[in-house]
Formats: sequence, structure tokens, C-alpha cells
Amino acid sequence: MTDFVESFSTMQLLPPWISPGARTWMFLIRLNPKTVTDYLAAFLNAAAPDRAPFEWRPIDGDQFGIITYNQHPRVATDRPDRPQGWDTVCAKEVFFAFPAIRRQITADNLIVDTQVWVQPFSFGDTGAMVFGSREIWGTEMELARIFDEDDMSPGGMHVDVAIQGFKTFAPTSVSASIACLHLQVRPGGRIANPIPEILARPELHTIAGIFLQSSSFIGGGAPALTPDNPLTGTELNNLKQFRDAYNPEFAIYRAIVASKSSHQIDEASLAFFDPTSAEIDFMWSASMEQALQSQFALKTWTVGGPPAAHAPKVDAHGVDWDMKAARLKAELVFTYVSTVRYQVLGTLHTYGG
Amino acid sequence: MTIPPLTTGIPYIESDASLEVPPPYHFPGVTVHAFVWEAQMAPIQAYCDRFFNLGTAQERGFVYRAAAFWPYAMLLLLDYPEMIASSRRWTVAAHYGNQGILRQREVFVAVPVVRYGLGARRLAADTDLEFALPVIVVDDPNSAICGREMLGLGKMVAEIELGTAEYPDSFAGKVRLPGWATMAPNEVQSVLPFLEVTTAPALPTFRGSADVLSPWTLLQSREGGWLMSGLTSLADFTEQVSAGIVPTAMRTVQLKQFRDAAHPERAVYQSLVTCRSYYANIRGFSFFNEKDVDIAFHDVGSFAGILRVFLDLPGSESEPTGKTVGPTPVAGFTFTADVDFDNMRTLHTFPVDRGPGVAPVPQSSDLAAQWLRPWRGLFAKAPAP
Repeated sequence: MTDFVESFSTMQLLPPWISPGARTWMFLIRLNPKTVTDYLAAFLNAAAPDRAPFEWRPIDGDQFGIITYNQHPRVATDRPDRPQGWDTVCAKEVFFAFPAIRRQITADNLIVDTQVWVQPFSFGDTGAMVFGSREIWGTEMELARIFDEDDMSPGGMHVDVAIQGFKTFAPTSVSASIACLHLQVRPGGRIANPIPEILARPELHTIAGIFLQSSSFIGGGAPALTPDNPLTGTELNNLKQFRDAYNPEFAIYRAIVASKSSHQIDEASLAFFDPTSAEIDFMWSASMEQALQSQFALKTWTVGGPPAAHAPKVDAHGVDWDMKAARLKAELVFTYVSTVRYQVLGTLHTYGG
Repeated sequence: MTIPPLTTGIPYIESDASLEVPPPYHFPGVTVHAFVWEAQMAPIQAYCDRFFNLGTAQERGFVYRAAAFWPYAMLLLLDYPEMIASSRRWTVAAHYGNQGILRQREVFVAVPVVRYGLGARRLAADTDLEFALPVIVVDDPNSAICGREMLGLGKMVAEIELGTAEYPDSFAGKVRLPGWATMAPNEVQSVLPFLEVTTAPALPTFRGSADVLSPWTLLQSREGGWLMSGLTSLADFTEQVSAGIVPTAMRTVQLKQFRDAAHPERAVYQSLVTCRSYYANIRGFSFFNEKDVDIAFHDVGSFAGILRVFLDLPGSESEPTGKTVGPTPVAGFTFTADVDFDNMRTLHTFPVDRGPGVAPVPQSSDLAAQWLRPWRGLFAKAPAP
């Protein structure tokens, strides 16, 4: 293979990477099956012009997705050809993902189904991670400002995401720092035992099983998680693509990349919360409107102003909150601290190749 | 998502969450502060060899060399009050044309390089002057992403302050950039000071150094013409400035490349891409006394390697001085202009072996020099269908 020429501007976070002590907050939301099918059809199943030798399908039953916040205090490349701890960054990321099934028909006509995750959009606050995500493993991550409360204890949380975008589209509109997402869990909503609630809701059984398969627990008696262990971890399938310099409608490279994140969870840190104590508010800006409509089947905003924690004005960070919002209902909310390992499994298909 | 209606080639699917606006752009009222200093040729040639002269000369058919006739580097600090997507292509214009206006600040260092075509015919047809940008930073994240992924510009996102120094009509600029101060294992990246520039008030002024050097000395030289417009002499340029109506242009060249996902030390795509900044309606042109221009780069950790491309510094990439270092400027000036950013195209696609089971990227070229392009159709063979 041809060598990549390293430069001043390509100091991305290289995979595989490791993030000890990462705090994760996960909000489970219900999705419209059509939005899931439409996304898979356009991004993974479409001919471009050839088709990948796989088919991505929704999981059985009801469709769910997750809004996830990850706080990485120290994430660093974990490669044998680099010093340990090389290129360490502190990073925050927020992403939306949903589970899907990748179906392959083998040469001997067997159907092999693999449970994977798909990530339609994400936000990161660190260039090294954003450029690595976009340019190496193909996650469509936008560079954003992410603000969290100093106290990230399991008693509650409050995270805001701001993007550089437009509140309204018009020839005279000016791009500005605008609020994009507000996540909050009010203190006092912790649930001691979520199992009865989950068992009482059969529609959650499939997604709960997917979560359980994807993690291992320190102190839980589970076998130690290693990057090579195929039985644990979450496989992510991304469309990695880059525009042509002359014609932005064409790609000079387009491929589907498989990667895996594995979470070795500190069992003592795992905490569940009453979903009614959570707020998931996407601000209804012109820059986000299309994504909110296509991903969450929203026709328009649902709340006539910003969440209660924010006044409808520009805040101390210079972020404009004077917008209406779309509130999503959380079905499950939980948090944990884990050691995250992220590795690229390979390129599943290169279009035109 | 926007699915292109075109049926040939590999379509790019734009996500509904995408915030990028692809070029071309129109930038009215851009304020430019520019500073010029003498640069060493050897590091610039090494930069050309590393990023532009990939493979063998015979395979490529061209070689990039440092522009020895103009041994200068130029630092530009630009304030774009309005950035407007200006594509006339209906599919792009419909999506971006009326969405609004972006703003950004940008700072880059440019060094002139010359692409020489190899062989008699190519020497005449493919030789061209372009500018390499070893460092380019912006404060708009979407500009950075679009510049990196579409044009191969190594844009990084920085905190950029542009304003006035101590006195009216003076200039001050600051750039802070994510980096590692020591490159020691486990050092967490932080936002570090990268560059500070200050000047005395623009000339004429009673402030600052008394013995003003004549900035026109530099600009009236034959080589000055190469710097400012590539094809017109600087005498013409200054006349254009005084007339205020005639444009000039700057073409850049950069290596656009992407890593393999599983083997990030390998590439899946490498090409040379060029684009043009076309300066029109230049006004408010004035010089600074270069003796009162102070340029300070921070020679630390992850910044050390790139500084040595355009600054003559002691120490090395692995053992930087740890101090603020700066060149001795030979000129400094400012002006306001309307800028069109356009003519993006791939000059040369390098052959890339993408690994087992994937077809290699074939080599292709579109190297005709700017002066020849309007005439090329009269002499060249028609491209294969």
C-alpha cells in the first residue's frame, strides 16, 4: 500500500485509541421505522454506482436510537508504532446512533446477520478527534462547542452543544454560534433497580439485549474485555466519503468502514435514571431543521422556546438560545464510567474499486 | 440528505446534518495584512519533495522546486466579513446560494513554488508558479472541514484575534492553536500561543522608527512581480492598486490525501489540488515600516517542525528552542479587496495502491499552465471519452 505523508495538519487521533475513565451518558429514544429505513437506503444500501455486498436492515421490532454524550478526559492513540500516550487529547463528543442488522449472503448461500450501529450525525469539540473521525474512520462529526457542568456526578447532568450555523436561511442571514442541543438530567431522578421497568416493557427487550451484549463489567464477574474479543463491543458502520475538488456532487473516495468500540465498565459507576427527569431538546435552527426532520420524523418544533435552563438570548458563552426547540422523549437514561477502546476493523466495501 | 441526480461517477451523499458549504465563494471587503521575509530555499525544496514530488519524476512528468528567484515567505492575516457561496451550478446553488453569509478570520504562510514540466513540450506547457501553504488556520470549523476534505488545504481551527495594536492605524494579530508544548508522552493537547504580530501605524506616520526603509525597493524588483500576481509584474500591480480597479490572483497547490481506516499510515487517495484567490477592487493599500513589524512564532513541541519550513531557526524539530522566534520582515502592507475563491481543480492524481482486493487509483494529470489553458483546445488532442 502507498504511504500516507504525515504533515503538520494531519495530527489526528489515530486508531486504535484508548480512553480510560470516560464518562458516558446515554439517552434511549424511540425512532420512526421509516427514518431508519430511509437512512440505511440512502447511505449504506444505495448504488454508488456499485453496491456493497451487504444489506443493512432495521432490527426486529420497535426501532430505537441513542443520544450519547461521552466525556474523554484522556484519549490517546494506542498503537505499537507510537509511544504510549502519544497525541493525548481531552475530548467531548455527542452523537446520535441507532442499531441495525448487516446481512451478508455468503458464497455458499448462507445468510449471516451481524448486529451493528449506524451513526447519522455527531459533534466533537476537539479538532484531532473530529478530523480523525471524518478523515479516517468516516464518522460524520461536526466540530462544535460542548459545555458541561463541572459536577458530572451521577446525581444529574447538564450538557449543551453549540454549532456555527444559521438560525434562519436567507441571503442576509449571518452564521453565528447557535445552540444545537440541550441535554439535562435533573438531580433526584436516580432509579435503584431498572430491571422491573424494562421487563414490563417488551418493546425494550431487544434493545436492552443489544446493550448487554456490547459491554463488559469490572467487578461483575465477566471475562476481561480485550480489543480482539469478538463477543463484546459495538460495531459501527460508517460511510466514509470525500468530495471531488471541482464537482462537490461527486466523491473521489467512498467506502463503508467497520469499527468497534468496547466499553469496560466500572460497575459501581453504572446508574439508571427516571426518563421523565431527562430533557433532550434540539434547538430548531435552519441548520439543523432538515436533520431533525429526517432523523426523528419531526414536522416542526414542539416547544415554543429554549429549555428552562436557558434564557432566549445570547448566553455568557456567546451562544444564541433564542429559538424554538424540539423535545424528544427519553425511554431509558443511564450513565457509567468505562475504559473505551476503539479500533477499526476494516473497510467493508470501496465503491468504484 | 441530498442525493445527486447525476448518474456517472461516484456520487457524494450530503447528510442533512452537514454544515459545510463547498466553494466557489465570493468574499467582499476582505481586509488583508501581509508581511514578507527572506526564506531559506533548502527547507522549502524539502517541503516540495515531501508533499508534491511523490513517486519518481518520470512517473509524474513534473517537478516542484522552490522559487529561487523569489526567496521569500509571506504571512497573510485576513478578515472575511462576508463569505458567500457563489456557485452557478444549479444543484449546488439551490442548496447553498441563498442560505446566508459566513464570516471568518484566516491566517496562512505562503511560499512560492514552481512546477516545471519535464521534457521540452511539458516544460513549455506545464510550467507554472503556485503558492504552497505550509500553515493555514481559520476560526470557522466548517471552513476548515470543507477546505481539508474538498481542497486538501491543511486547515486547522484556531483562535484568531485581529485588531489594532497600541496606536491608531497599527495592527495586531494573535493566533492560538491546539498543540502539544513538549510532545512528551501523556501530555494532553492544549490551546497554545502560536503567533503574534504587531506593527506601528501604517505609513506615513510620525510614530515608530525614524529611519523608514523604502518598501518600494522590494516591490519594484523584477522578482516582486512573481510574488504578487504570478504573471504580472509588481510595477503593474502597484499601478493596478493605484487605479483600484484591476485584479490580481494567487494560485495555491496542496496535497489532498486521506488515510486508510485500518492502516492509517497508508493512503487511499493522494492528489495535487489547486485553487485560485482572485483579488479585485483593491483599495486602502498602505505599507507598514517593516522595522516596526514584530512577528513572533512559538517554537515549541508540535509547532517546531512546520516553523522550520519557512523560518531559519536553530535547534531542530525534535529539539526546538522553546522560545518565541521571528523573521526579519522586508515588507509589510495592508489593503482591502473583494476576493473570489474559485477554479478548484485536481492537477495530478498520484497512483495509489489501496491494498489487496481493491483496484489501485490510476495516475491522471491536468497540468496545463494557466497561460496555456485558454489556447489548449487549439493544439491538444481531444480527451478520450
